[in-house]
Amino acid sequence: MNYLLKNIENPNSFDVREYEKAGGYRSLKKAVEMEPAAIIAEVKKSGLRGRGGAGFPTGMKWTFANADPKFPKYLICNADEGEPGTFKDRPILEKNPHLLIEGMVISGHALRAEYGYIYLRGEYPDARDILNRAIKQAYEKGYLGDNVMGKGLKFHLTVHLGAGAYICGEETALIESLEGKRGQPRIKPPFPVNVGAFSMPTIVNNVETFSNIPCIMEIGPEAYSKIGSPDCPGPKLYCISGHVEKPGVYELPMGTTLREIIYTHCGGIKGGKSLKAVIPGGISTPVLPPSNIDCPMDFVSMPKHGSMLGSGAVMVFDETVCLVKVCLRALKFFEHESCGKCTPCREGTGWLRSILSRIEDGKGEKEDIDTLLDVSGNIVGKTFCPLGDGAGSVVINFIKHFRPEFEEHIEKKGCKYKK
Amino acid sequence: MEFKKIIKTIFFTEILKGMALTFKSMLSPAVTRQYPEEKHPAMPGFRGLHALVVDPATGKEKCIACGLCAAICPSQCIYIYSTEGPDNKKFAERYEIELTRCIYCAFCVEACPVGAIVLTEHYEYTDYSREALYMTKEKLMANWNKYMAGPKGEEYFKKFWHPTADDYRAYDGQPMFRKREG
Amino acid sequence: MITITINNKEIRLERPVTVLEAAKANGIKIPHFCHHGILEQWGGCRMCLVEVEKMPRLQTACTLFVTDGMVVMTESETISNARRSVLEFILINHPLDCPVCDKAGECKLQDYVMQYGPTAGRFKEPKIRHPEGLNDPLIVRNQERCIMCTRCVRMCSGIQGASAIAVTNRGNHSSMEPFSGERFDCEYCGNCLTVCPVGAIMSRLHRYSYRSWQVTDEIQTVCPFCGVGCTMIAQVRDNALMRVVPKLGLGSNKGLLCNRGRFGYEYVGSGERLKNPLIKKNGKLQPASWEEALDTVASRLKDIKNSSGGNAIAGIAGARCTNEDNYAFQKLIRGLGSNNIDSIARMGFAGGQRIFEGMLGPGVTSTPLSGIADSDAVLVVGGDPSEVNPVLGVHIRMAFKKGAKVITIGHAPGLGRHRTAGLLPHPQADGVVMGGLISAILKDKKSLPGGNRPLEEKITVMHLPSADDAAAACKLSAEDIGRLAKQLAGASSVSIVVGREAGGNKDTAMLVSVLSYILNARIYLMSERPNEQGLVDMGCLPDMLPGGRPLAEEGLRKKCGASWGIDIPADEGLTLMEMIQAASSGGIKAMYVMGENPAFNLPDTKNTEEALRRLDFLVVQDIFMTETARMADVVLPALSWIEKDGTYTNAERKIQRLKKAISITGMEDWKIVAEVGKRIGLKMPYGKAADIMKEIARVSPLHAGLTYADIEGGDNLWPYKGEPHKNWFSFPELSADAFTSPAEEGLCLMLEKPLFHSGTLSRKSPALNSISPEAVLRLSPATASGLNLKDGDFAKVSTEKGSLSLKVKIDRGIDGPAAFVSNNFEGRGLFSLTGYRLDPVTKSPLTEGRQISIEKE
Repeated sequence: MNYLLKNIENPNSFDVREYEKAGGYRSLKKAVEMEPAAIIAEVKKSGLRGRGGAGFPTGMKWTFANADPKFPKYLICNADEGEPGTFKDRPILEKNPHLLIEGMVISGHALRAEYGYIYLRGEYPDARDILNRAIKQAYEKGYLGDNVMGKGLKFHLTVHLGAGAYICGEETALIESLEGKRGQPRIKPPFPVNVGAFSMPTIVNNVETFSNIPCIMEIGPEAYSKIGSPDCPGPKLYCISGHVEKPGVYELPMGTTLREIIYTHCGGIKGGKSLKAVIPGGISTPVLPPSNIDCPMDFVSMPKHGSMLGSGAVMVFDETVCLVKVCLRALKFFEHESCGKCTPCREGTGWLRSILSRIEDGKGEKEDIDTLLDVSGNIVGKTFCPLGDGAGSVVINFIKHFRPEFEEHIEKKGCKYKK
Repeated sequence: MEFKKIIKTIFFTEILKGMALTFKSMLSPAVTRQYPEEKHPAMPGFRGLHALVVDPATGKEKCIACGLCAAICPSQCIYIYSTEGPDNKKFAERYEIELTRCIYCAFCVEACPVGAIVLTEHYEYTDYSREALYMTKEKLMANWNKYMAGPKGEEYFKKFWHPTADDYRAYDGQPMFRKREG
Repeated sequence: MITITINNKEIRLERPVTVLEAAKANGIKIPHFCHHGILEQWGGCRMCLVEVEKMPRLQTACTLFVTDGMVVMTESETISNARRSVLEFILINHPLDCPVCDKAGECKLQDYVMQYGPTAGRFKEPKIRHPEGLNDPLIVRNQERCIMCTRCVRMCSGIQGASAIAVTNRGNHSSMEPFSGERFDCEYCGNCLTVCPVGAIMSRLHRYSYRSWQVTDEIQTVCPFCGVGCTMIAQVRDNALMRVVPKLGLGSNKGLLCNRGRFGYEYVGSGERLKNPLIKKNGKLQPASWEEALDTVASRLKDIKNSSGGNAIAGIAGARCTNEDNYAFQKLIRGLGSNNIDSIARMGFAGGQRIFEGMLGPGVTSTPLSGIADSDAVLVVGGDPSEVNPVLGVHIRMAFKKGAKVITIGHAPGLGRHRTAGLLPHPQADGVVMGGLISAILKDKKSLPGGNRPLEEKITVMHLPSADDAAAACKLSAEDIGRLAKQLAGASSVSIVVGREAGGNKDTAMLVSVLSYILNARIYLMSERPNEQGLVDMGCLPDMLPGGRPLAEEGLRKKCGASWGIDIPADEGLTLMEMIQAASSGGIKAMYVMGENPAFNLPDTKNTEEALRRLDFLVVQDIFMTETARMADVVLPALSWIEKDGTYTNAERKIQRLKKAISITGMEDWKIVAEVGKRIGLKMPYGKAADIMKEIARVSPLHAGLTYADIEGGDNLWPYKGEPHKNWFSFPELSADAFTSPAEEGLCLMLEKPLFHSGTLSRKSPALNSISPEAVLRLSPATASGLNLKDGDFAKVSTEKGSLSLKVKIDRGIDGPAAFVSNNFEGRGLFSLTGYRLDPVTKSPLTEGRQISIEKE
């Protein structure tokens, strides 16, 4: 049973008529009859956790925002899907935009917010067009506007296109960028739920999180909480890329094991080769060796197995891949995307990248691996936002699991995988 | 014991010993150096007259006018007045040393981050006027050309300049201080 | 009460502050780069990481607010490792060019690396290089050294309000860039220099000229450029002024400076300084000995006194000179039997203050500058504070940022981005708008506050125009006036900032007083020169004796005269412009000018020059060869601000000490005056400036008992330790045409008060000349395009009085049909184009003849 990718086979699934035909906006009808507090209670009861990567309980976040007496409140959908390897929100944005809109209108009603923004990744121009069309349709149909569903509720939605900075996926940097400032994270506390966009209480949630709301409304929190892992229930989009037979986005219950995803749903490793490493949740989550792939993919179990669920972006590497190069590529990304606000991340990512590229080029020295570990350790836990932590932990975990490969690069003065 | 003492007293043995030494010295060659006809050879690293190192490539001083020599100088006898040069680089407009106050400790040589000042082996520069003992930049550079130019200067830095140039291992033209080996 | 523990030391705090502040207040040092007390929080440098119990990660002390029971450790192995790693990160792309970096010795990075840093570097890769930004004449940017603390950016946008710089690019390629490209095109306040912890932004002026530890003396003194009287520190090496720096938190300026104060000091060492006395022989000024020059001055003045009486002698005191100088000067002129003593304060400051004090009570302009930033509403009338008194302007901008309503009447482009409303009536119709505002406020308030009965009686008979009439008269909308009146009336704390133009016009000044009365507002009088207030207080006025005592009071006059050993004439003397008129009609035969340049700084230049030429004897005492000095019979070279001791009284009426930092051969103004006085037979036994202060303290009731020690000890606020003059109310009549706007149409000539210049001193400062080298005609884009003029074109500006050829500069800050010309550059001053009429009460010259025609050349 698909909830998030419902109707996805339909080539016109993005159209409001098709969406309505498939049962869309029914949850909204139900929600507008409910008291805002009751909706928040249902979400809380459902056990929904934020799908952006940190897994913060959505109901709790909403309660905080609801408790703040300041108005107007703002609702922001974080559609800045910048994490390398992640493309889970794209099917929703492009194929099922009304699901997101419905989710946001319900959330807006629940939180008594009258304005919503979709902060869309700059590299998704198609999604922008589709979303804008869908919003237009929703206005025409009366799902958005000054009188939602004829109930006198007000909710307006705007799509804001980012300019391509990874850091703007961090909620405070996203808000800065939305306000027209330089995309850099803000000091927390105060948290956005109290002082967010334009200094007003702001709820920032992921596309997938909002898209789960209609599902909770539809099947009820009890039924919802029975899907997948009991600690963090619900349907989850996993996007699998790399050396598997059938890469793509899969909607599976939360807590499906990595092995099941790779071998059952994706048809195993491409060409029958053996698995070398998996990054389970986007580039900033720790890499896992093949021995660790039996862990259930959810927010609670993954840390126990030495990694994180992140955005659920699984990257699979087979035996032909040079992991030093993967690590280097990741650090190139982090160096390029570091916003420059805090010292460890600004300077450290560049330093790590230059050491790694030296090792990859065969110019590494013996002490370099220790330097890498030490420098990464100096970054982790000392940066302003999680970007630096991600960069540091990538290096630490690659070396932790694949140290011999790094040593080989240094001893043999080069990369044996290079063609 | 008494007996020995008596013998010594009777036969003046001490005097004889002394006279023996006198005769010996009379016959051996003299150690006195006939300065100024005869010059004293300076040992390598001798701390004599100051000189400002001239870069053979450009013919200009190596000094960057950082003022560290003047700062470390215990007798405060170095005066530097720097300014912005035509190439927007810092340079010493005036570099002066008051020799009459210098105590020849060579701290200036050690403090210099670029190896721009040395103490030469030249020591004969007494004069009747104070002006002659007040070194200006021109005089100091002339000193280098006169006493230290060529391999002698290079040798000096290898041996006597600490930290040595190797301690400043440069990457991409940027000095970066590294721990000294051993 | 919050109790926290830092390093096992229990600390009690009244209110929640950050851990860093709490530690600092208790003498615990936490290293930091990006935090700065006056700037907003940033938390980027990660240098101030501390350990907090029950918090898993290290926390930045600069952003973490204390909570009750918090346990903080600022020194531990984890923390020193963290600090070492942060410093190592900073150093990987930071060049180790300390030997040539001017910041070395006062560099935070250097200090912290010495204290906490790694001993050896591990970074082997090439560093990121940035070429040094040398395209700007005043500010060098070295982005290699930048540690991205963004203090400069936060200073520029958060405090100064200029928003001229920003961080561009991302990550380790970020750099601080001015929006204008390679060269700065900003206010050049240089406050970014003050806050830079490393050598990334530095002053070009003293570049490479000395190391911070070579400074032999640091002297706290007062800025010589305007009446704000910013406290600054002069750094001296071997008797040469190396630079002036502010000290954050010090003085009324709290460590902020403007471009003139920071970069304008070089005039002190100018080669054009007058060194020898000059005497005109055969029509040419020729060097002479001091003896000869002083004897000539004394004997000629005595001759003229004997032949034509004391009233044929006039003196113009100097607004750049100290209180001591001016006191001695007025004593000399009065000793010559004349009350003809006045100064440039007549242009608006003195008259305005007289009216405010007369209507509201003495000391009404004695308001601390810090009050502006705390105001809920600020009304600016008759000038642009951000250009005349830039640091005062910054305080208004700060108030605006805090949410205050800022309303300007008249042109104030410096506040263009920091005001709620800007009203632009005809330059002579400020009064109409004020009248409209007052009547709108009174309409709402229904009743007057009570307390000042005479003033209230006055207000009831004022025939104030209604808001509609006022709006109609000056082509503004009545709603605007009504709305602004509501904003002013609704504010609990109002400041009114008054410029020279408004102060000199008795009607406007009276209306300001009325407005201040009904709103209970503070009045700030802008002061264009450093010691205009001192001129007033020292008795350099034709009708006042030292201490702000009227000449008419016989008892005091007698007492003064007795202590000086002279008979002070009872008749009031001539005011500034009256003196010039008298000189041209032959009534004044001799004039002694100290530290002023009337031939250029007074309106209607041509007639003024003519009048000065008619004098039998003109003495000019100055530090430069000014236009006036060239006409003089004797020129006496004086010493500049940094070369003498003394005091200035600033616009807040705060007396501040000037201290001698460098000594050169020559005589201070007071010494020259005393030498002349002695030769005339006056008692002037002054050995040092403090001797004069002693005499002032004896003679002036306002300054009674005041000593330098008191001033330095903080007893420097009005009324000091003395008695202000009380019961001195006077209510002049409003002019009949006070509420009519002139019917003149078309382009209006306005006086530009340039940000980068303020007359004699600034035009000899190479740095200020490099950013503002010539006189320009500023036009709004609309006006310029109407006249078919482009930036850089030459245009001929003509009025009834004459014409000037000026370069056109299009200024988007200008609204309306106005053409701005400054009165700063030799031969190209606005005053050569305009005439004036004297205000009947303040006797200030009010500019007239603003109609101009502009032709392209």
